[in-house]
Amino acid sequence: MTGGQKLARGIIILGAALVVSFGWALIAGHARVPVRGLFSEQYAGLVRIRAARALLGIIVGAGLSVSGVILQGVLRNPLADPYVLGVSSGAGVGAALAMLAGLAAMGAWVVPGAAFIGAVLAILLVYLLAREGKAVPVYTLLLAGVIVNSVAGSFLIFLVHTTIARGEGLHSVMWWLLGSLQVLEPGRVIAAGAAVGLGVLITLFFTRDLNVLSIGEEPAAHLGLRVERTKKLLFVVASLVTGAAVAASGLIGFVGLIVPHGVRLVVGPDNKVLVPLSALAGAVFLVIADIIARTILPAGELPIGVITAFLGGPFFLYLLRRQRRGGVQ
Amino acid sequence: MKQWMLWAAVAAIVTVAIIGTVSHQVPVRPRTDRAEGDPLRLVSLSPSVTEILFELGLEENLIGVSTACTYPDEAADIRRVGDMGAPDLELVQAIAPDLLIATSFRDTEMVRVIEATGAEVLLVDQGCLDEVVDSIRVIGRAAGHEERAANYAQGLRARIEEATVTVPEGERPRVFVELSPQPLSTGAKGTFLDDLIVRAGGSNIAHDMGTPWTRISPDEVVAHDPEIIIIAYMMDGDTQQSLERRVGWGRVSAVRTGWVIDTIDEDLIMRPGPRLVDGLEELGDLFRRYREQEQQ
Repeated sequence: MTGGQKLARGIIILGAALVVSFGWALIAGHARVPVRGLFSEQYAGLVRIRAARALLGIIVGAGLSVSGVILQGVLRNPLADPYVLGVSSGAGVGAALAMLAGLAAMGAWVVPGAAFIGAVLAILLVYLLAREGKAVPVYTLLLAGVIVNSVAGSFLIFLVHTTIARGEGLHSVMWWLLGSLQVLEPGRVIAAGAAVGLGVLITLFFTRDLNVLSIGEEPAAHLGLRVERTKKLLFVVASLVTGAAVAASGLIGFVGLIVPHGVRLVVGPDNKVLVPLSALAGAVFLVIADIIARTILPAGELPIGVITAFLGGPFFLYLLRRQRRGGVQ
Repeated sequence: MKQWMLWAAVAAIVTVAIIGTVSHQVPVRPRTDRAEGDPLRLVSLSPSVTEILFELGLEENLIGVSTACTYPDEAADIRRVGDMGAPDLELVQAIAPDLLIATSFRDTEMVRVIEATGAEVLLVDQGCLDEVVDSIRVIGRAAGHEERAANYAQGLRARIEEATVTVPEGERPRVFVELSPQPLSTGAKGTFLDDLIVRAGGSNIAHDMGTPWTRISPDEVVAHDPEIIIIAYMMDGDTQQSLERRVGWGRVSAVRTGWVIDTIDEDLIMRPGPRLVDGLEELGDLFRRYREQEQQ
């Protein structure tokens, strides 16, 4: 099968899965909404809440997955993921600081914007810490990620704790560390959707460059790619997308790891196919994970990050082990 | 990894989601305008509010409570609609209450979402004892039982005055209430706990800690040398012995003289509700016993 055929088939299958899971998300929940009731006035409020959540799930799922593909491609490291590398935590600190400074009222763009800045700083820090000459070895990268993650995470908890008594709408520690797709302000969904949409679109134009980068930076330079510029631009895109996702839903981990690897397993490593299909698969994945999060308990909901970590943690260890056996770097 | 493992994982996720979807579903009650004489449908998101509603005889109207609402026992039969301060917005919509009463919300935006479904939201403050009593009137007024609430509040206020003692500063026992061992925490000025201790004739060693509900380091406790230590949670094993075993605590007055108290029902001093007055009376008795023993 050629890349184009794989892509077309993938889009049809995953597109259908997305439509089905979206419809499913409207019916699933603690309040019983019959299929016939989807368009009736009686259930309109519930259906609207669920549709907003599913929409945010699509945005965040697609965003985090594409961000994972970018980081894995640019760093040439299968274990890269915005959550593992501390980019999400950096974005969280940015978002929290903006909320604390009272900037959220200035517009739906401000908090995601601050999250974006936090994410860029975190990526830069991790990259500079981990780089040894021209290479970015797996273990130093992971260690740098762990450290940035832990420092940013502690700072986030510090911010929430020192200000929680003032009740400034900074969410709970739980919200930040494990994420939630609960939509209370529609403005944030729109802002996140625009930022992720833009990021994914840009990434689609750079899939060829990602492919070239995957053979190594020097060969890529020989092939005429302006390596440093491309890397910087892709880092910025990954930060933009991660920042928007975190500002809207907190820290939902491992999505950027699970989804691209799952898709890669089926369609192979070609980024021209991988990027769009990962975006779709990530959207489906998070919508279904959210259905589990809000229906598995008799009342209330499980933080969605618990579910993604439950799947992502073991998967990460598996990848780490395989990498060691393979002797890469 | 093999592809079949991926498909197995996908199948597992989808199965769990299907199980979730088909279990615990509550039918949606159509929201209609309340006719004159229809009973008011109430949801309480806080154990103290639940207790007050029961006291006011409004338990028949209560159609939803939080997972923290465990008193009185009959509250267990009422549908749980989420954690304290964090209602399940779907369940709230499904059971369509007229009025939802809470002491706090984890996310203030939730109020707007609930109000948009047609329910009224009443937020009551229950920081100190006076506010608890005031909240009874507010709740009674909102639930249409103003007179009963006023009488009940008046009764409580009389008991509070009765139990509030004037003891000169020097004769007040130094009291430490341990809310949890790890981290060691207690309540300072601005909490109803501090309010209770002071009214009952004690001196709270954490009174000037700055933050209301606060952590406290063991050396601060030892330095203040409390004469009475109240353990406000279930401790494993013998309380007196385990405090004696703590490094440096053996010389603390309360530990030395055996005034380590673990018999006060924690709900009476830790739950901002009408039973705080019971807690106040128990603390008053305790401190009086201590003073009498001192004088002998």
